[in-house]
Amino acid sequence: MVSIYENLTFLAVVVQLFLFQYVRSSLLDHDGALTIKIEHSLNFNKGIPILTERGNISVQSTRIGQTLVNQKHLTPTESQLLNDLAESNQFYQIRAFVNEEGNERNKFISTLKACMIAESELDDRLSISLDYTGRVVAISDIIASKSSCEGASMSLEKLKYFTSTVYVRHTEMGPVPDTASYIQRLEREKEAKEKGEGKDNRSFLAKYWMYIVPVVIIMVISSGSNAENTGASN
Amino acid sequence: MDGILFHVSSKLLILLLSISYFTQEISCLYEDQAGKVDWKISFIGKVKYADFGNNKLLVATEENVIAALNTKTGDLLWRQVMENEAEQQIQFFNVNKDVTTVSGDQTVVSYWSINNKELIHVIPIEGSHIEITSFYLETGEIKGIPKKINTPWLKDAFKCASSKQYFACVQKNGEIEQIRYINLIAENSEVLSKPIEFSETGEAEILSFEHEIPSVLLVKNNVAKIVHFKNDVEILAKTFLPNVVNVKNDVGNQLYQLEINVNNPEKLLKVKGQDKDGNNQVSVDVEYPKGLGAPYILAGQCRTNNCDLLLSSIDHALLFVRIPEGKILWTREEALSDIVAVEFFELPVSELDASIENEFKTSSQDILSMFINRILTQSKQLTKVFIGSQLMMNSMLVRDDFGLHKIIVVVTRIGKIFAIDTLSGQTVWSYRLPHVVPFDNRNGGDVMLFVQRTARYSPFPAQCTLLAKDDTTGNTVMFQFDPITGLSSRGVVKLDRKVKQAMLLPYEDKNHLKPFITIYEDHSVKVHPEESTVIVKKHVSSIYLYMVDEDAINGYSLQLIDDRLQTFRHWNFLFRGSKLAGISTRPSGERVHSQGRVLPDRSVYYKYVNPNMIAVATISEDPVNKQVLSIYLIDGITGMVIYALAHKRARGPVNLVHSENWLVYTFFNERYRRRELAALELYEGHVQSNSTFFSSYAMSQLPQVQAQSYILPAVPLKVTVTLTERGITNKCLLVALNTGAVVEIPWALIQPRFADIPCGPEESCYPYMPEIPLHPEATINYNQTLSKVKGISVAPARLESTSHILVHGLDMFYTRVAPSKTFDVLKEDFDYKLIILVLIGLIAASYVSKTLASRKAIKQAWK
Amino acid sequence: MYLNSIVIFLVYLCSSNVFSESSIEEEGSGRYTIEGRVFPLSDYQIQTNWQANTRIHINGGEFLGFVKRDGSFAVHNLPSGSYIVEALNPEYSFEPVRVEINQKGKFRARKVNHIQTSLVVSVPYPLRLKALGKTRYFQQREQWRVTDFLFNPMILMMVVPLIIIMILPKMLNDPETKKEMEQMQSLTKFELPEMSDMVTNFLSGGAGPGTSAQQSKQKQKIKKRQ
Repeated sequence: MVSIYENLTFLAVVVQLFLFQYVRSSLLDHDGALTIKIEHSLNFNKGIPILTERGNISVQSTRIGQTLVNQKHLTPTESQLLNDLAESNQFYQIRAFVNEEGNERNKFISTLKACMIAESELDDRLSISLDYTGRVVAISDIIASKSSCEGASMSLEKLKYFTSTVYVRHTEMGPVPDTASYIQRLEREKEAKEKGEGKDNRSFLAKYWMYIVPVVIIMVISSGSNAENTGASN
Repeated sequence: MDGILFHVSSKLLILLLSISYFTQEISCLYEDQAGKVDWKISFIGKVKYADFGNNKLLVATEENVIAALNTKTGDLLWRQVMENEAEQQIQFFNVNKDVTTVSGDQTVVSYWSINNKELIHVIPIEGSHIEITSFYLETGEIKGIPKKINTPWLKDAFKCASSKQYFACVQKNGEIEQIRYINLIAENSEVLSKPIEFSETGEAEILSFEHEIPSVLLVKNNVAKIVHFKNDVEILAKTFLPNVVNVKNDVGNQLYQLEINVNNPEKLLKVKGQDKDGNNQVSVDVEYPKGLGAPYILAGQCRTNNCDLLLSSIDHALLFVRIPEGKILWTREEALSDIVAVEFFELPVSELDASIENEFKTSSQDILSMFINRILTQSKQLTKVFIGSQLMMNSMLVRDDFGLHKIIVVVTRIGKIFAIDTLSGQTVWSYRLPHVVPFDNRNGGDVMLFVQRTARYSPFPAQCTLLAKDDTTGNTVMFQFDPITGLSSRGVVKLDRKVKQAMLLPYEDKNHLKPFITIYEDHSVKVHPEESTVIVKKHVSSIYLYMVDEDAINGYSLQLIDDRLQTFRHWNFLFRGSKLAGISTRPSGERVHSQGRVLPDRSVYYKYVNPNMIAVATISEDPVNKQVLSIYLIDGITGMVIYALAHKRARGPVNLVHSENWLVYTFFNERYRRRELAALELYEGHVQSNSTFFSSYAMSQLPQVQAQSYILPAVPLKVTVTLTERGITNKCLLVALNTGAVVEIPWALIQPRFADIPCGPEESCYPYMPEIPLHPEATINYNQTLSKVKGISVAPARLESTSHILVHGLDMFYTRVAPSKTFDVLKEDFDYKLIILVLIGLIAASYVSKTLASRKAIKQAWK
Repeated sequence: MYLNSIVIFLVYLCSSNVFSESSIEEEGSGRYTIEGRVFPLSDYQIQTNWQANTRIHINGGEFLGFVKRDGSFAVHNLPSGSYIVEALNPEYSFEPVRVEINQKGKFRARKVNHIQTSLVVSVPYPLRLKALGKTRYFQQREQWRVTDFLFNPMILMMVVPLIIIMILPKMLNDPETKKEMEQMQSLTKFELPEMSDMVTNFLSGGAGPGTSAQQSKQKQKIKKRQ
């Protein structure tokens, strides 16, 4: 029998693609590699997912997040199953089996709405979260979308190739109280005080405008009225 | 002109506001406000030792407290809180002229003044075997060298007791039980033994017993015999109950014990006194309160013709009984020293308000009947206004306009529920659940208390449900009650299984009752009340929950399989090898008023407000960094880790506070040996992805995280955040410190600053300071020290500015805080007189000026 | 002297360490005592019984100490390490001190500085903890003052127009003030145009016409005296 599964291989190099305003240094002391086997369930038997193989991900370097994704096609029947799930607004579940170097095999579960993965035409994102030592704590399958759906139907043609993106997400270093700049600021202020003894170097007008303005106004008003008076008396 | 004036004044107002904002964001108290809304009740805990001395009742408790009580009223005269009870239990308590305590593994003997808790002296004792140290109590000088005694015969240390200079143990040699004892001060102390002659079966135990003659109590199968040590050991023939207490009076020694009074249902308790041979019997019936558990005698004291007995009930209440009258002089509810769950309840509306509401509810269309109805109700209201209202307001629990009067329902560890009035601090009702203890699992705290219906829906009473563990079977018990009256229609319901997790659902049934679901070990789901299963089935796809297991957090959704509800594992998060140090979700009733933060350049930075977010703190042992604290923000529906960070060389305990779009946590920094507080704030960015609703599945972009860390120059025990009705008021952190103060820290002070945006008074932003200033003025409990705080509960009042606060621990302290000051009510010191005076003055002035003006006009005309 | 002292015999029994003799002994030698003395603010401000209400917290309540009548305290059974010693009293504030006990049992005390943790400002040991002051928990209520009342914008708003409307015309009616006012007006009229000149002159460095104005002023004053 001719294999109808054509292995699609592509390399996804992702280094913290998610937007962070301040990228803090990664805490990872040593690099590691992971191999992840992914199974998914396209139908359920009395609530228990029936799992079929979806593909493999190998993370060659947990530090830089270099990954190799190797996923199977969906067969027409599988596409149909997925479409059925999407139409009836059910869940699509993946199970990831992680083999870490020198560690036991761990199972991670992630579930999302089947209609969302169908709507996205199998363009999903796998987020692999690591703890500070580089061990996996959670794997989530998500769809980049601005809204959630309540059931959808797609053409089966579009439900064939997974175009997954893998993000290896590190634990960041926690913030530390910024004492250095505070001490500097205090010293600067102290110096400034010693130099000028709190000298106010604003101009005379800038300092006392609030007193000058009313005086000027009163003067203007009174002179105006005087002018009237004198005019009348003349 | 008006316009200009208004403009100027509004500017002035803004100026004033900004000044006041900047200088005083915390709600400071004035001295005359102390004690106006707040109250404090002090407790001592379960009494372990008690004795009389100097007209006082002196006690030592399991909370490691020594205290003196007024024998007439039961009021606390003084209280000295000692070391943490887990490490330094009080092991010896003696009242002579003053009070002596011995505590701890590393033993310390302390000698306290009986009058004012002052320490007279303290003697540390180092030792590792039985050792006798004699010293003079009044000076603290050690007499001679400590004497060591060889103790190879000691094999069962807990079956021993000491009485004055004698030390006795029970020993079993095959079938023969014997009592071995030693006189410790004798020159050549020698271990002597005597066989026990006891007709009862079972193991013999030895209990200490207060008597003039050194003696112990030998207990076997709930029957006790007194053993006297004189020259020889003497086991008295007469048998007693194990709770027998010896009280010395002028005649001799009287032995008291308690019995249940079977014959008299009015007076349930019988106090029986007799001498050691069973003569001179007195028997007094006592009217024992029905709400209390079974009592036992702690101590007694006799005078010429009456005796006082101090009883304790198994639910930690203290009772002071005077015999022969058999009257209970006072009771103290010490169960309140260990509260495990707190809930605030709004009171029902008054009858008057209810009738007004009902007036418009009647649906009859007939004009005439409506008219009659209206006349009737209004005349009723009128009579009530004149006759009843004043009386009702004073005597009954009725809702006020601002929601300041509430009922606090607290559940204590011993399984007793109390309802407390926020205005007075008095207990409105209490209910004891026998054999009910907190859960020992990792989900949802010690007990679960659900508010199914508030008192808002007038004809229906409020309903509240407590889930806890049955002490005897380990299964779950359910108790449903009306929090206002304490009435329960069904009483304690024992479920036949263990509930693993339970959750209150936000959907109401037709009677405005919110159902809750319980999940069992086998993942089956049950809805309470059962009739609401239809509602749950309708919303089945939107119900998610999580459970904490040994090394993982698992997320579940509900699903219908063959028309039966079941859980379905949705996601998992593994923290294997680490210890869970804290888990927190946002307060359930919290509302977020503002969608974003306006930056100085007038752009809006939208908040990432995820109602499903769970904050998890774990601590991992690390060979290099000792301990590492990790904080994870997890979406509770998809299980995705939104953000993760770690602090190396950090140590617990960790406090997590989670509100709106931010998280605050405290921990100990091992490297710099200081407590630190870190704040994380999540933003969506300048574009809001979806302004109408939030879906965890729709994740177009990860939130941007702002983080900042501070030094906390104190030790926080518990941290929480204020909660107001609509979330408009500024937020304040409430930090209970181990010094006994509860300090308010405005959120604005710790909100992470943007690195690229200036921060100063113009931006209404506090410049960054690494050390959080803790002003004494920010202490909400001023000089009222609160010991061993175990929790802070917060509830919103109906007044937007105000939050109710209950701090509980060894003391219970209630107050109200207004983080942005009470902007929505007039100040209590508002000067009504002045404003009336000014108005009258203005009116008078206008009339005077009117007449003056008219006079002038006439003069002008005559010219 | 010891005649009426009571002698108490203590038998203490710790189930864990009754039988294990050797291991505890070693640890026992590594236990230290932090000692010191608390000084209240000053004699006349001392509340009665301040000693009983003062507690010593070590590392935020990990270990506790109590104060004797003479103000001294001792906290026993501490292993070597670094400790923050605080005196707590509901009425007074004290500064915390960091005490370090090294492995050899040497004590070193310094001020607590969380920001600059390496900065050492030594303080004497045994500790002498002095009260910094009475803790102010309450805000001061503002006292009612006449000036505050008068400078209240509401009052100013009422009073100033009142003065302008009621008193000014009265003053103007008075013939003498009228005369004075006229003089004033002539003066201001005389002076106002001069102002600009004055400024220009002042800026250009000359002092010319200004003096004439002053002269005229003096003349007027002389007139008035007559």
